[in-house]
Amino acid sequence: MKTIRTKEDYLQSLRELGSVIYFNGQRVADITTHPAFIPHINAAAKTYELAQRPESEDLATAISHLTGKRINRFTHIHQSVEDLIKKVQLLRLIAHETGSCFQRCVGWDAMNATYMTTYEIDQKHGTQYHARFVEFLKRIQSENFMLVGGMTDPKGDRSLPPAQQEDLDLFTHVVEKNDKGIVIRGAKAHQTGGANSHEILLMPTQAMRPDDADFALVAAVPLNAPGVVQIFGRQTNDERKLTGGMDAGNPDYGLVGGETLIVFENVFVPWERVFMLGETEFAGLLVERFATLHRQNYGGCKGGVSDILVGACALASEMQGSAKASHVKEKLAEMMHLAETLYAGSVACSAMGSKTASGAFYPDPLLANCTKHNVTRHIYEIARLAHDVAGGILATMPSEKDLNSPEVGGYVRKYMAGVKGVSPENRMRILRLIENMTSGTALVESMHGAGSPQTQKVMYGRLGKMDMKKKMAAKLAGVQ
Amino acid sequence: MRVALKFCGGCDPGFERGEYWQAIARAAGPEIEWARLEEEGCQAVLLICGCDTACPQKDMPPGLRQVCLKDDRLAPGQVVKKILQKE
Ligand SMILES: Cc1cc2nc3c(=O)[nH]c(=O)nc-3n(C[C@H](O)[C@H](O)[C@H](O)COP(=O)(O)OP(=O)(O)OC[C@H]3O[C@@H](n4cnc5c(N)ncnc54)[C@H](O)[C@@H]3O)c2cc1C
Repeated sequence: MKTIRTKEDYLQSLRELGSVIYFNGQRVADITTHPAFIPHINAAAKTYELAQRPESEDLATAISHLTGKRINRFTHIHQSVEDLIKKVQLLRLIAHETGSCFQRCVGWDAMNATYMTTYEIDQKHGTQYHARFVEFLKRIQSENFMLVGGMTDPKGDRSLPPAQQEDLDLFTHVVEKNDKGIVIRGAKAHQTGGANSHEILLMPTQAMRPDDADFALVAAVPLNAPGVVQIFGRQTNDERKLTGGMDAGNPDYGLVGGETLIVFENVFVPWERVFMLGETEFAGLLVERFATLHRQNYGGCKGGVSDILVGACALASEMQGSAKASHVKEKLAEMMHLAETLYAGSVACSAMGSKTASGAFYPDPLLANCTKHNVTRHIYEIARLAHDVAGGILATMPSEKDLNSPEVGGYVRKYMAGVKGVSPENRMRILRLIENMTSGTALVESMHGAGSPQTQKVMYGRLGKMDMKKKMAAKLAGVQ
Repeated sequence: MRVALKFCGGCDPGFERGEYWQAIARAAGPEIEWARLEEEGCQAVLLICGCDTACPQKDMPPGLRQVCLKDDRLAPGQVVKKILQKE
């Protein structure tokens, strides 16, 4: 397989892969020509395109510590604090190009978490997982593949552990082991970029107990392996993408990542692709590391997406004649403040990162969790301010077809007028972009992507050093 | 003169770095032969950075004369003069 460099290489690789994918009740033969998938493919393709551009290669590429070759940064294992910071900078940069999720960070975080954790499993158990994973990683770096970070299981009854579920397939697990490999069943839910990735790196979804050994699995599976079936999720206003044009809001790019439910129906995985199996005591550590690395990202990508939204709101207010109102200026400043606060958190957790036993660098977990927790709030507040500044027209605007209708197009132009000289069409385009970036699916990603808010809150209990805080307070107060 | 061109990554630049470089290259014409930083024989490096942090500045090879731009305020012709040390 040759290295994927350009967007065309990437599209060709997806055509050759031919994963089994369903959307809206039908099998999709070629996602690269299907309008529901093209916007998401365009967004992911940016991770390839920017690595080719002199203006962005400093962030979009890195030198592999395994081969010494220049590689796409999305396949790199972080070797320093500077690498961690560059990761966040890169995410902001790409978000400026796409205004939406570009999907490839999840697999990147999965690779980094697996790299660190397999090293430690081998130290304790004398297993060969790390060496196997390094060989796998070298191939991913050389082919420049896109990986899904496959953590979240469907989970069924959330009050029960995996082994006690009525249907064991609600957590991905091993059903057979033989001298060649293992056979797995189950599914991973909400898999970002699943349809347009090459492989999935499976990880356990949560800490595991000793009797959950068959669920404590880390393995890589090509997405065209026999028995793998993907079902593409619906998103807010996704039918507008099918017709394209202005009503889609951000017509060339997706709304969030384009997530699939990935089903594993007795899928064979050879041993060289198994990187953990049964070491239940490491499941929690792996989950925590993946979560920290993923939570580190959100001030980068959501900060970048918010930059676009601020710009769109500023343009809308200029077009509508409200830009000089002091409360509008204040609201735009507040939106920027919230976005930069998110970015600051991502940079801070990177700057305070440290080296793991494997040599790979890891962000400060408390600060990374704090950043993602802010995302679950600030993005909603930024969207609220955007709705305020843009006006009720966001919810009631006529369609592009009405704008172009011989019968009513004149009315739409006349009554969509704003400041003299502003084209009603441009005003409508900007308003549609704001609608697209602040509604439904776009917000839910900020809430649950990389974990629901409570999974970040619990980290304060674990990492918040409460005993020291109490001691400091007691000392100042003179408590004996 | 052979000059290496290096951009910062562009996480949140304050101006269009690519367009600015194109204007500089037009102003320079054949007087400057542009190269990549890894290439041999460069007499200077033009660094185009999107903000004051200028991330790549610290990684520049020692001994290579640097012209580092952190905004697009200088006219392209002036930048060329600076590179060619004609001012
Ligand atoms: C757009 C998007 C993209 C995503 N991309 C990926 C991806 O690429 N890879 C991946 O692996 N995952 C991905 N996820 C999944 C994401 O990590 C999960 O959505 C998240 O972990 C929450 O899990 P859930 O959706 O099953 O919600 P639930 O677990 O159902 O949570 C709903 C609520 O129930 C609470 N809850 C759940 N279980 C318990 C419990 N046992 N005790 C107390 N409270 C509980 C939660 O705190 C929350 O308040 C993505 C999610 C979204 C929305």
